[in-house]
Parts: sequence; structure tokens; C-alpha cells
Amino acid sequence: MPKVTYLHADGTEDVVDAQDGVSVMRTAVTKGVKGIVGECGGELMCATCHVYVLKPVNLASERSEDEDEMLEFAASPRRDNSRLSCQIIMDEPLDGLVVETPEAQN
Amino acid sequence: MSQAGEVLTADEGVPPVDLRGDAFADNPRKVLAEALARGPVAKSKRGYEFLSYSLISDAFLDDKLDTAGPDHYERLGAGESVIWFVNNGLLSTMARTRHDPIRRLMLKAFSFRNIEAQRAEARRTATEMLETWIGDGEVDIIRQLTEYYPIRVMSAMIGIPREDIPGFAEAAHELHLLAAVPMAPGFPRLEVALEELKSYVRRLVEARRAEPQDDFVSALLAAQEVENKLSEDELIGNLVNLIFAGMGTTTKQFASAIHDIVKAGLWEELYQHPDELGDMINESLRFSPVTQFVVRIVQDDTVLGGREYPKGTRILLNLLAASRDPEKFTDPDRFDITRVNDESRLPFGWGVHRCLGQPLARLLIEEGLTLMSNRMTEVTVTDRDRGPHPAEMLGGSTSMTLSFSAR
Repeated sequence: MPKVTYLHADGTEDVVDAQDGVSVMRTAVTKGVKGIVGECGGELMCATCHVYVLKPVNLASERSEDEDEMLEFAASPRRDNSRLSCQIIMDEPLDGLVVETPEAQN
Repeated sequence: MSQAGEVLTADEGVPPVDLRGDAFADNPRKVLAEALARGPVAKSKRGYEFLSYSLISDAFLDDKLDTAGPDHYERLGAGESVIWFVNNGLLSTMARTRHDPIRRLMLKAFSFRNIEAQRAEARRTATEMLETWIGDGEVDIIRQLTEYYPIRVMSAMIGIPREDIPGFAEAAHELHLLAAVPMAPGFPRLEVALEELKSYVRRLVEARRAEPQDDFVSALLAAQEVENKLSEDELIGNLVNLIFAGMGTTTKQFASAIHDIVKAGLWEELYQHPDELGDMINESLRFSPVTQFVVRIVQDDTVLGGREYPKGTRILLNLLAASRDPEKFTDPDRFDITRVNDESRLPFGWGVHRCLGQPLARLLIEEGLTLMSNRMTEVTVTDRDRGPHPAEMLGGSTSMTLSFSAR
């Protein structure tokens, strides 16, 4: 199972096993990881699953147009490495993914 | 109860619940608590009532469930304007193919930064209204504050001149009939109200077309004309929807928060510890949700909570029951601001139809309560009507008298 690490603003972290084909948002919500809300359920209708991707760095540029637009509504500042975690689908090549959760989602 | 893996039919062993009898009218919470104790689903004349918090959470995110669409209104015998509105304006009833891009457009008005920018306007508006009665020692807080304060701030936010509000307020108020149970008797009044609102919004749009301003109406016009993102009917319909959204729910939720805080003996606590405001509002949203249920129609056969629901089944997500679910909330009938309300799935909903105006509603209630606690003391609720029948979609009083001293 690919692992994903969530770093939080308070300095704590969660390392969890993700299922192949399940998004980083859904993984966080089902495993009770704080800092990710996922209000719309992963339909690109909100920006409450905002994360900053720390590793791998190239993942940050793989945004769709709709995701790009929706990131404008994030509650915390948007950065170059901002992504909506509902749009990052876990699989083996992403094993070791590290994301940072923002200070606020809503 | 089903064995692991065994799927029951929707009906098998589901107890009935009577939402029309005197017992429910007298004490809806008691009837729902008893029903929930029997199981997470009950069957009423309205359809299958989902009562437990966890089942409702799953239902909000099940993509095989959606809101009742235009065909539902057609079957009920709705007139031309209502059908027009559910197709072009009411986001929650629109087909998903139109809903998704339009919701993204509307989000522009409701982004957190945009909402935060309304804080000063909210404070100014609430202060102006409070000044007219603060010397009286008694006030109907709904009629003289919570009823028109949200629509004034919403209007300022989207670019509707305040002086226009009295001209359409009554018609906007009539749209609450869309939440009535049963809905059909209200159709003739809804036709009249919608025609009035459409004609007002058409005039507003023409004025902005002739002379664009730095407001949301002009931004929507640009999205329509330059980017071709919505039709003329959708433009008009969605602005009517925003006016509708500015009336009603926030009005009643704000009044409920005032009531809950006074009744819990927390008014002075709020004045001395304004940092507890968020917890008080969250607990009131749980304790007294004004949206008492939402409707979902099964779009394709689905299994929820171990039961199979065939396409076309009508499901009521009973927020009134779920907000007092003892499995989710310990000692649910206690108003407890230390409770961790870590997520606000109730009563704003969850999933693609989650209330867009949630941050604005919250801000309006925050600013209103802050002002009131700073200016009013010895507050008691001296009179309050019970509001509509508890089987209606929207609950909450329509009139509430407070007695107080100014500070």
C-alpha cells in the first residue's frame, strides 16, 4: 500500500497507508486525519481539501483548469505547490507522498 | 438487524413514524428520538426518514442520490414560473450538467475572502437597525433585526441598491412556500412572487448592462457575455435565487441562536468571553437547526445502511433527528458549548449541494450577536411563536419578543 504523510501546522504528522485508486482527500477523511475537510465530497465544488505538496515536487503542476480555478477560493493562501487533495489519486508510484495541510480550510 | 453482507429490502422491518399526528406536533424531538431508538430508518408518509447521523452523512455523499429535480415539481402541478425557476435558478434542483459550472461561478461571490470583506457592512447594518429600538427595553427581534438584516448585507454584497429591497421583499418572502409541505397549495402565490422577482432582476440587469459597476451582478454579466458561461434565463434565475437565499434561513437561524443562548443562561458569558461565540453558534446550529430535513431521490438503485433502495425512492434526511443522535452527540438534549462540533454537516448539508452561503450566514450571526451582547443586558425571551408545523422543511419562530436593558 502506498504511504502518504500529512504534516500539520501544529508540527504533528500522520503517516497512513492509502488504498490504490483512492484520493488523498478521501484517505484523510476515512482515516480521521485532521486538517482536511472535503466538504463537497470530491466533486471540485469547494476548496476545503487544500494541501501544499512537498514531495514529489512535480505533482504540483498537474492541476486541471477547474482545480486551478477552485483553488482561488481556498481559505488559506494559495502557493505554487497548492493542490486540491481530492484530485490526487493514490497509486504505487506516489508511495512516499508528503503533503502539508494549511492552517484553515473553512 | 442484518447479518454481515446481507442486504435487506428498503421496507423489511422498517418501523413507521407518524409525523402528522398530535404527538409529533406537540413534541417532535420526543417522537424522533423514540423512532431513532428503534433504528436508523423509519417510514413516514413523506418517504423513508433517515434518522441517524452516520446514515445521513453517507447519504449526503452517495452519488446515486440527488435532490428532487424539475420533473418532481411538474408532477406536483407547478406552474410555468416555478418550473422556470427550478430549471434556471434554484441551484439545488438544477440538472448536474448545469449545476456544476454555475455553482462554480456563484462561488466567486461566496469565497471566504469575499465574505470576510462583508464584516464591516454587516456590523454597520446591524448597528443601524439596533439604534432604532435600543432605547425601548423591548423588541420583536425577528421583525426588527433578523428578518431584514441578512438581505440588506447580501444586497450590498451582490450590488442591489438598498432602496430597492422594500419593492421585492414581500415577493422574496413568498418563496418560502417552496419549502412548504405540502407544496402544491402555494403554487399560485409562487407564480405571482416569481414573476415579480424576475421582472425586478431583469430591470437590475438592464441597468448594469447599460452601466457596469464593481459588483457581483456586473461580474456575472461579464461571465455571461464574455465567457458565455450561463444563459440569460440562468443569469436572471440565479440572481432571484440569491435574493431568496438572503431571506428566511439566516433570519430564523440567527433568532434560534439568540433564543438558545438566552435560555441556556449564557448571555453574560458571551459578553465577558466573546471568544466563545463560535462555540455557541456551532452548538445552536446543532441544537436548533432551522432546516429540518432535506429531500433526496434515488437516481439509480443503491445500498445504504445495509438496505437496497430502488431508483425513484424518496428519502428524507431528517436533520432534526440526526442533530440529537446520541451515538454522535453525548447527552444530545443538553445545550453544551464545550461539545466538540468538529464538523458542521448539519444543518448546511454536505456534498455537492452544501449551502454556498454558509460562511455568510455564520458571519451575519457572529456580527449580530456580538453587537447585541455588547449593547444589551438582562435579556429575556418574553414571547415567541412556535413557527410552522414541525413537519415543514423550515422551522423556527416568525416572531420573538425580548425584554432587555441597554448597556
